[in-house]
Amino acid sequence: MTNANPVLKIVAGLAVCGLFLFTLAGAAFISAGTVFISVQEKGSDGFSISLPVPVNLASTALSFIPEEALEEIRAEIGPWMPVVEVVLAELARCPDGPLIEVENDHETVTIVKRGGELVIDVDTRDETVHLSVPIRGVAKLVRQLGAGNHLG
Amino acid sequence: MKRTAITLVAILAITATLAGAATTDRWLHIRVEERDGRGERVKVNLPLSMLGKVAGAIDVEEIDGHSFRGGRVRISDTHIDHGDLRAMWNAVKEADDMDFVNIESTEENVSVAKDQGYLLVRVRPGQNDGDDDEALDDDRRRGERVDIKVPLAVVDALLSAGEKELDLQAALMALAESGEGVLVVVEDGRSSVRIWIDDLNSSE
Repeated sequence: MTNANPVLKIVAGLAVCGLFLFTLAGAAFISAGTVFISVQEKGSDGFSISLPVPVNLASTALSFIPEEALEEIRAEIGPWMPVVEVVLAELARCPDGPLIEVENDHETVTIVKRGGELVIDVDTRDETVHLSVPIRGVAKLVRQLGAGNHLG
Repeated sequence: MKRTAITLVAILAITATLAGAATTDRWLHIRVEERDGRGERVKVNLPLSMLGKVAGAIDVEEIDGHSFRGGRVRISDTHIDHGDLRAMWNAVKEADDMDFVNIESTEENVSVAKDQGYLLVRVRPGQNDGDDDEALDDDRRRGERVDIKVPLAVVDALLSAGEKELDLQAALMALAESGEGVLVVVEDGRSSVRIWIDDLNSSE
């Protein structure tokens, strides 16, 4: 290594720094949690899809929405933003447990607080849908949307 | 009468829903079960603290002539004189425990009573007076029963607001202080509704 080409040393150093920064950025990116969506059709030929979406990715995606569209969204949901924020903050605080269950002869919907997540499961004759939402991460997203600071 | 009962249930449910402002550990439970049709069952368990704070956060200027702000509901299109209502309530409050209203009919029997610090509303199916069963309405044939148990302090607080207003915030504080128990039970042959408060975050 002592006889290594100086250029290679610089490239190696940059690579290590890049990897470190990438790891830091990745950790920061997933720290807000991940919204996990899964849809599975029933039956032998049913399709299924699982989609993890880091909250920070959604946060970043807000910056691609035109400001006019964001203003419209804010105008629509603005009066209810304090309510949404309160609900999310209180959900984050409350103990785990079933919050809402709706059952009938062909479908079941459950909303459960589990850990730091709100977990929604829908089970119908045709498909199952699973959605888990990191409460604090989404609360941050909502605050960001409400404040008009979509770049975070 | 059915509409009145539903209105009372709704007000009580809202009041109960908002009752979290002064509590941290109490939970509001709602159970709805249908026995026919699709056999729907709904279970709701919500922390009262959350619901109380939500109530405080609601700021709705105008919906169908009503507004909700600062924990108070303003009902614009009512013709009830607030002074008369308040005077009537004060009379009820100061009276001894007794039945204030007893309405008996072939359709249903309704009683409103004051008993040990609670306002009790009770609806039972009316007595069959020999009519052909087919002439009876569905609710009576199925035996609709309604029981509402509201602490007097809750009603008092509810009516403590100004003209054409209901102070839900004050009512919920009073309800939270009144402790746990069953608030509403509605049953008929097809369905049942039960609303109660306790310290458990699940009803199972």
